[in-house]
Formats: sequence, C-alpha cells, structure tokens
Amino acid sequence: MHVSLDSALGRQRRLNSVGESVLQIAPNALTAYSLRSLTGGDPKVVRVRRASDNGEQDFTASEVSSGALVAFVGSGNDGFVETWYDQAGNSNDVVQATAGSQPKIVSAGSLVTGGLRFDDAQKLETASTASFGDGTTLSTFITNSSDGDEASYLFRFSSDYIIFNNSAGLRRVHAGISANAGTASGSEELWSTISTINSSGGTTNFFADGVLKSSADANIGTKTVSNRVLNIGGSSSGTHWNGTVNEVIFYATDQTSNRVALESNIMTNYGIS
Amino acid sequence: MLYLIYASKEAAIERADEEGKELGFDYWIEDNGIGTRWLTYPNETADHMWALDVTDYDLDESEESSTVDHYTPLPDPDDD
Repeated sequence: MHVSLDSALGRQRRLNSVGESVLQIAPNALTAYSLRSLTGGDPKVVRVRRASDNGEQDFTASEVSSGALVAFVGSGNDGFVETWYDQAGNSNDVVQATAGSQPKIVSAGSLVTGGLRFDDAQKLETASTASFGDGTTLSTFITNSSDGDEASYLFRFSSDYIIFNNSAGLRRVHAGISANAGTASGSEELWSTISTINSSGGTTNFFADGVLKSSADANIGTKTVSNRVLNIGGSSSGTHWNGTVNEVIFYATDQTSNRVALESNIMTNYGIS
Repeated sequence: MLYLIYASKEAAIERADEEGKELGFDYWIEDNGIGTRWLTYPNETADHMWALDVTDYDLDESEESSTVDHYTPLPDPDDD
C-alpha cells in the first residue's frame, strides 16, 4: 500500500491539533467570532461600550484575557458588545448600534461567564447578506449555554435556516421544518451542525459535545438561503436567545473531515467534556 | 415600558438620534459611522405606525403627556 508523505502528514495534523488554532485546523470559515484568538495571532475580537459613560473601545484577544477589557469597563460597571469582529478575514462583523439590544460582556465589573449574555432582547447582525443554494453544506460550531425556558433563536439566516431551541429546550435545526436533537443541558455545550440545504429536501447532523444527537441525516425541510443577513440572538421578543454564547464559527462548506479536530480544540479550550 | 408613537420611521429615528446625541454615544462623538448610535430603535406597529421605547429617555412635558404603555407590534415577517 502506498501512502504519500503529504497525506500522512495531513492525517497527523488532524490527529494532533493541540497548539493549532481553529482557523489553522480548518481555514476558509465564512465567519468566526470569539473572545479568544481563532487565528493563532492576536486579532481584534470585540468592540465594547461601557455603561458608565458610553465610551467605546476595541479589544484584541490578549486584551480580553489580560483584564484590559474589564479595566476599561471599570469596577462594578457593566459592558456591552457593539461589534463582535469576524476573525475569518471576511469583514463579516456582527454589529448592534442600539444600546438596548447589545449583549452583555461585563457584569458588575467581571467578565460574563460563558462569553456574551443574551437576555431575551439582544441580537447581533452582519451588514451584508448571504445566499446559499441547493446542495450547499453549512457547518457551524457554536459554544453556548441555553436557559432553555422558551423558544429562542441562536443562529439564523432569517427564517431560511435557523439553529435554536424550542420552548421545551429541544435543540433544533430548521430549514422549513425542524429536526430535533435532544434537550439542551443548561450547561455550556458545543453545538456542531453539518447541514446540507436543498429545495427538494435538506438534511442535518446535529452533534452536542461531539455526540450525534439528531437522527442521522435528519430532514430539515426544503428551504435554501436567499439574500439574508446572519443573525446571532434572534429577532423578536418571542424568539430572542436566552443564554450565553462564547464562540460561533461558520463554514459554507462541509467540515465533516475536520469536525472531530475542531471539536477537540473547542471543547478543550472551554473545558467541555 | 413607555412608548411614543410616530407616524413615520424617519420621525422616530430622529427622536432616537436626539437621545443618542444627548447620551454621548460613540457614533456621534467619533463621527466616523462606527459605534453605538441609539438607546432604543423604533418598531413598526400593527397599524403601521412606529413605536419608540422611551422608558429611559429624558422627555419634555409634551412628550410625557403623549406616551403610551403598550402597543401591538407588527408580526415579524422573519418569524414565519
């Protein structure tokens, strides 16, 4: 049997991803948001408004971890996310210019546990729109914690493609109809979805913490994505996300071959087992 | 919650802009189109007016006498 050096090294990279960043493991994400570096460098990750005087400042990943962001917000004060910067290099930042709709990142002088806190009235959106046609595979890796107390949208392209939990706390993917994937634990989870959308019938595989929770190739309906903004956090009071979000990484390609390595990186970073 | 009802979105945004300037949001200070602009943003009502949440606004007497405590929102077309 012949095994090329390249393929052998490539396989080794997938198995030994410790030390590699998310975007080194699997480049070419369409969007990638986090408070840590996903690139391996020290990118600008977030723009924060402090409630004390409405002053704003950008922060890099190292400035978040060093305490500079908390120091900027100030002792006992709250801070809110105005922009969550896209680390994928596509300038698909998600923004919220309305103070009352900004997720919280610092609460009473401390970083929010779990990243950004969405409390039933917050959302972040891209300015640009995206379209994905028949046969496109969408791969998402979202580190979150759901309150699970009402239907709430986590990640969506309008009503065309939605990752959410329903009022019973069921994890779901929807592209016309919903595929269930078990009940959210209420603790921090990594939701990995690999969905192929198709107007004649799309399918998804929904993994929570690396374990398949939906049926294999579960039916998600017949919608494709047409000229929609990316929304994190929902749209109306009835469907806003209730919970936290630490990280959102999105590919408009099939990342099945990288899924395990990506999940290993993410779960190790956030202490998810 | 307190709301002011406007006939047009533009009029509601004009009031939201005024409050954003008063609060010193970054959009108005840096003048580069970046940063927080509004405290609240108007939502369309079922009868196609525009409701602005002014609960935390500094209202004048005329505005205070015009507030309502609820409105019926236009169903979100995205929530189909």
